[in-house]
Amino acid sequence: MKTKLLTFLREAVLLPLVGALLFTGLWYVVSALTFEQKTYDMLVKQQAKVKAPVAGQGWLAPGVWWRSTKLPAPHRAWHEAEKYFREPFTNNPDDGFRGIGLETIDSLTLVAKGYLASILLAVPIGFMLGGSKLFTRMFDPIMQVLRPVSPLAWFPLAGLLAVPLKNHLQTQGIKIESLEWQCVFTIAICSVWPTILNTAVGVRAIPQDYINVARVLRLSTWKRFTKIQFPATLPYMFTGFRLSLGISWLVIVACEMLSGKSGVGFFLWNCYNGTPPNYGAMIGAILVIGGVGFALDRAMSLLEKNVHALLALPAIFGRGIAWIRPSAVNAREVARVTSRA
Amino acid sequence: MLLLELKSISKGFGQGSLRTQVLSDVNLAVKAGEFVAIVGYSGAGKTTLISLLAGLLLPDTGEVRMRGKPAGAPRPDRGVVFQNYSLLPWLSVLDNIRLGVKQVFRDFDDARIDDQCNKYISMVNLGHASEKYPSELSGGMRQRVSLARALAMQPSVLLLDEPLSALDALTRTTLQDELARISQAEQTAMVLITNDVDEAILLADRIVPLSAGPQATLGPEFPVGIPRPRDRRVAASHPAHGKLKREIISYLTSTRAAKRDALLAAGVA
Repeated sequence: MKTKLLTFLREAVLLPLVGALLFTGLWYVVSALTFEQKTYDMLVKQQAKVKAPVAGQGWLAPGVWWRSTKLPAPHRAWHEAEKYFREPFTNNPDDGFRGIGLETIDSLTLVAKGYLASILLAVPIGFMLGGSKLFTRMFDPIMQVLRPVSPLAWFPLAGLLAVPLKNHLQTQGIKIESLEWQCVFTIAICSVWPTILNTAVGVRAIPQDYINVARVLRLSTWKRFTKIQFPATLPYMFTGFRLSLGISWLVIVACEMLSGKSGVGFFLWNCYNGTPPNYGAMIGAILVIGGVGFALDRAMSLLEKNVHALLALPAIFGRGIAWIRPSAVNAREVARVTSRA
Repeated sequence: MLLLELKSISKGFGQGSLRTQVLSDVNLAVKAGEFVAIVGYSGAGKTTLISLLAGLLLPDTGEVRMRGKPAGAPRPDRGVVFQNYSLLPWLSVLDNIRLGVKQVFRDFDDARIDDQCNKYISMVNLGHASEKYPSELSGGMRQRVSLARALAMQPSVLLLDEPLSALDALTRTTLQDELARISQAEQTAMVLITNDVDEAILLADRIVPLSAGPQATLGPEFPVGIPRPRDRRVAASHPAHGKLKREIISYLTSTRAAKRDALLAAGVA
């Protein structure tokens, strides 16, 4: 027990910590390499005007030196980004201040829309591709060509479609914002492929045993779908969902840079192009993007591992009530065994 | 009355020079309520034979007939118990069975469907596990569920594809006894495919050996004259038992030797 704890501490705490420290060290080294003498001289001059030189040349402390690097070192980056992180949900339109939290929520909302659209599109297409050879032969080549297209390439096409779509919807009394539509379209079309392909693979991989059962029981097409094809494909679909979500989050940053509306991508670009630029906040935004992406992926893989437990949830819940013994089923066990089958 | 018939069936797989003729000229007639066991070597084509009986495969030549008419596509009327259970892992025991029952008894209300399911769940002694999932059950229990699923649809013939061969010896014995009890109680015609001659003798009214493959065919039938209900120990010590077992095994080994000689001769030529 004790050795287990020690192993855990070493494997899961100490080693990642060492890695993070080494990475920070590398960051300092790179930062030091971008030191600019000109900036330093200027800062020294400024400092001299403000303060009288103190004995021991206190104003030549490392602070000024680190402020003269092009790439801000970690502590400088934090200093520059701090205000966005200290008040993440403050919106002050007067001086254009918007906390990083608000920007992240904007991005997540947009991703949710595009991702939802892509799933709604991908699952039926995946089932058709997996179920019909004809369909595969017809559309597989087109998909293979469209799949590697970058989000940056789709964005203008979405813009092209935005105008007629907007006009059409306006006659129906629905208002859309072109830029938002452009982002949603781009996210949807870029993240649709993994779900389509995985669903199709899942449909093709349904064990012959289950198909035989369906045939012997003479299940109707609908029952065959709900009771056999759909649950059997579910684990594959969730793999697709996870990959698609990853792509959605990858695409959003590019979209927001192009759309220039709001969101972390926009924030990052804005920090880079600002006068003066705020490189620290830019780096902060990069870390936020990474962190959110990581969290999304973890959440999805947790779902992925427990798909069938999710499916069995109503029954398990019902049984829990019936027996007043909620932990009767090890949900993970159900999922593990089904994914093996 | 003849319930299920195979008439000069042949079936092969593969293309061109890779083609192997698995079954050739297979004839079988199963009467209503009768228990037929087909005994053969592994790989002789036993599963192919049961798939043909179930309608999961179509024969290359010949015909499968049910009550005198061409049998056609699979129907719940010909129940199947698969060797590897084939339970749906995302459904509980009860739901696995209910899926089939609902399909067959469309005019039943929910309460009646549940009654029907529970009747067969208790018949295979699984009353305590009806809400469990297949992954929570042992192999023997899973095969009981599979058996209950097939029985609950009240088929006129039940096709058992080596239902017990994946189980350990002790569980196997228990399930053999239960199968004997159920077949006695239900009066459903059963076709059992097995590689265990003792199992066949314990359970069947008559035994038909499947000769060694390729081009396997059904041999002469051996009626089992041991009176029912058969007790395992009594059946084993019955004078007919040893003779029957010897005859069946010597038939099977002779077909294998003949097949090997034929293959060797072909190789030499």
